[in-house]
Amino acid sequence: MIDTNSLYKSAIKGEKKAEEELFRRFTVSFRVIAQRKIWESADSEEVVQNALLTVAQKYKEAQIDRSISAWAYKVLDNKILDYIKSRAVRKGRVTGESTEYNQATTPQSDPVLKTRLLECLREIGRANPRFARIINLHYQGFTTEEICERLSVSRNNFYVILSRARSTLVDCLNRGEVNE
Amino acid sequence: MNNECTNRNIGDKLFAYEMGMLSEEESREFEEHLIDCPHCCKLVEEFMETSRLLRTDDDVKAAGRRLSLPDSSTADTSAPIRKKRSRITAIIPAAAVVIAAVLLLVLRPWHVQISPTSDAVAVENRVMIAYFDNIADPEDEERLGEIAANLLITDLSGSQFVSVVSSQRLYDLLKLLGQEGEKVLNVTTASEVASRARAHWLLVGSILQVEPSIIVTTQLIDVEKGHIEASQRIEGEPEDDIFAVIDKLTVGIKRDLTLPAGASSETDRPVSEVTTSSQEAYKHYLEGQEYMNKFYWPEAENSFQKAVELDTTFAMAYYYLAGLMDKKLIHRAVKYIDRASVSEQYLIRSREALVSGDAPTAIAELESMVKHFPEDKYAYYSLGALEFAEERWELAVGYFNKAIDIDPLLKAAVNMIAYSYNNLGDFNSAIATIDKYISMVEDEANPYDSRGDLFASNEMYEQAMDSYREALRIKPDFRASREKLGELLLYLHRYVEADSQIAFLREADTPYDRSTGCLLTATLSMSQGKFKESLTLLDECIERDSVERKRPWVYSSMADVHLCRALIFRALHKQDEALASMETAMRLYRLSYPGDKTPFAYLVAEYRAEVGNIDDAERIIESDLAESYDVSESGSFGYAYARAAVELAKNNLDSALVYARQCIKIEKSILSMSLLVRINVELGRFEEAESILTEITTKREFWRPCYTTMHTLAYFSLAKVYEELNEPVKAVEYYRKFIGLWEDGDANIPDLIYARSRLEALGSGI
Repeated sequence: MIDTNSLYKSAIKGEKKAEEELFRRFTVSFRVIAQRKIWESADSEEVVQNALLTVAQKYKEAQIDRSISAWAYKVLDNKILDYIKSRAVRKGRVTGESTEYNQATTPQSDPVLKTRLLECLREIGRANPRFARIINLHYQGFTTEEICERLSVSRNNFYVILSRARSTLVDCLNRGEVNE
Repeated sequence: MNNECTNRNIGDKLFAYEMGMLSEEESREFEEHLIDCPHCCKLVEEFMETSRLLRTDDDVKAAGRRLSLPDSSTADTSAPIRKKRSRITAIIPAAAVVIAAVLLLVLRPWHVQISPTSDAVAVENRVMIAYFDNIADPEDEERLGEIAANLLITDLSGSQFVSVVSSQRLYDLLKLLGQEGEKVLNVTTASEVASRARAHWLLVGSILQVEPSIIVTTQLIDVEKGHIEASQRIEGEPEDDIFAVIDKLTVGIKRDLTLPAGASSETDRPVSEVTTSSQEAYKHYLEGQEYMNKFYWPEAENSFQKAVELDTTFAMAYYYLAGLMDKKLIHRAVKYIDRASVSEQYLIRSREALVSGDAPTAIAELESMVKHFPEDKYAYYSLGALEFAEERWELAVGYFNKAIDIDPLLKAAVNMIAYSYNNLGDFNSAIATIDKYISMVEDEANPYDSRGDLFASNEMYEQAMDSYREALRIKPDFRASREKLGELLLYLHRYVEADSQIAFLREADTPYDRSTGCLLTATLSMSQGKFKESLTLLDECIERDSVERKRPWVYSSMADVHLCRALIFRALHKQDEALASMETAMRLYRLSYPGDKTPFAYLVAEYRAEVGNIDDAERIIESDLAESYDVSESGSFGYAYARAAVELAKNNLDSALVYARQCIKIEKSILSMSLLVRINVELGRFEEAESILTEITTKREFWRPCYTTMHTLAYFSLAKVYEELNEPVKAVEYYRKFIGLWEDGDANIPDLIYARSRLEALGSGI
């Protein structure tokens, strides 16, 4: 797989295929990032398109200090911030600088998925006490640092526990059972 | 193409990112990575809906909080067991006003929806016992039907082969079915109830005759099949009382239940040996439990007292009285421990350990109880209450949830979960939980009182007062609400309204309420700067409390009185008298809580240092505070506070500043903030002092009415700081506010005199 920076270098040299692949990559990742922060899909798509437009207009002339990904991400992040601010103005709210964009409307969740998720969480909680403890502490408001301290695990180990739990969770959601 | 992550170090953070566990910076880094890594991007996309539920859905979050029941493998054992809470760092329920709350074990209903789950399969040999229909006396004024059912529950519970659904659970389920208070159940209702309780068997009974001998009949029904599997008719001898009849009935029922072979070799003790032999005492005991369920302590105390008057060997009645009246009564419960059931014996031993300050043993007893009686919700509830008392909220929630798993209607556990959430900073969950509790028992005062506490602790005073008033509307003598409403009004300077609330306490029936009323009356004067009047009232409080020396609360109450005296003397710049009062407060407190050295000791250290007794101050730090440092939050607070105060007195200002900041980090209270202000002023850091003082003037610690002077004096200090900052207009403003707060105060208060003189001087200059 060609890395993004190589695609970028080829694109600015005028290679059409590289440019297409670069923008395909931007489009997919931008959508994922924006959707996570903006639940209203139409708004989210609008923000993504605006960001892509800006990237397309400026990427060849832009001063890229670190990497194209970092720069493109910055563009998207600014667009999302603008959107949040504009929405706050519309709704008469005051927002802070937090990037934890607090969505104004909550889309309906899939009840089947939710039920299954609740069941899987219980199952995994039984099978994996460390994960259960992490989840428990997290939902009680403890920070990752505090959780690591309480569980006496390193950050890396913490992420490993979570990664494994995620695989189990995906498996459980797909198959309806936990492999212990 | 995208089968592998391009950077595993970052890719490993995938789930943490999806869960919202990464810091802002880490999230950005991860999102940049998403642009570079189609593999991770795809994973996030596929999991988007699930991760959104994990991050935002309240039900999912609640389920997450219920995960990880603390046990030996997962419990947070890093923190050593603390001996006792010594400072109120977080709100505690009305239930915790008496020690009983720590092990409040008799609970009553609250409504929640029980949804059938895959687990809702009847448990083999689980029996639900319905109330007995007293046909001989349909009015059942002696509550014989209820007594018979409860005795049978106790007797059958003695067998490890039978699981008996408690009478509380029966009550709860009836309430769910809209038949609250029904003492006689038809078979259809009873079957419905038994089914919801996952009981395999339902036992319905009747009392056919009381005189000349008791005759009872029972029918054992297979709930699933709806068949009557067996019947019993027990006719007592003329000399047999209800206890003897129940013993005979138990033998017959155990035979009908087809229990494992081991059951036949079990010792079956007469039920009068594990409860009481007095029917009248048992009736009062059941009454006491009913009051406990509603958190109506004085009534409960009264009933349990009647029970022990009638049977001086009634272990469980002593057990409850030890919490309500005098903790030493637990030794009576221990003395007669053989007269309690096996599960109750664990509770008695646990509380005995707790009273002796041995929390690990208290916990170990309850853990043994859990092991032997895994379906006993009270064991989990009690463990939760212990963790709650130790301020380990998340562990407490785990245990309370486990109790609720066993009995979703366990309202006291729900109440405590709401407090735990609040103490964890999750106000929304706390209110949601308490609102659910309220909606189920709208006719009880406690849920409204709890709701008031939640609002008050989040500085939503009007809502808090509304809730307290609602509790008082339901039960005008609900002391906890009356006291807190009075304190809140007092802190809001609404003195006339405060006095009308406090008057209820002054004139209450119980000595504790009157003692509280007396202290609050004195603080009412104190708040207005009427120190002479307040000191006279405090003397009256001491006199009043002296009469009640046998009461468990009396010494800590007297300690509070002396604390108020100390703070008044301090405001009058009479440091020697202030020190003497604080030393007395400490001594009295230790009579109530001998093992708890931190409270008052750090204030004594501070006051000793202020009068120049640095060596004595150092001594108390070393002897009473150093050992608690780093052991607990309260221990660390006490030590850091005392150290800061002593370093300040020694003019080691940098060192004082370090300790004071440490203090604030542990607890940002008026006390710790005031100390930090003094240090900053000494260091000439007036901007910092101003900022802290401004915060103090908006900070309410209404549950510490004695500290009202410190709150008012903050206005005075702020005025002086503004003078230092060369802001005379603001100085004038705050001198005026200060004088206004004590406008009816004594003329000889030095700071008031000074403020007036400065106001005059500044006023002419402006």
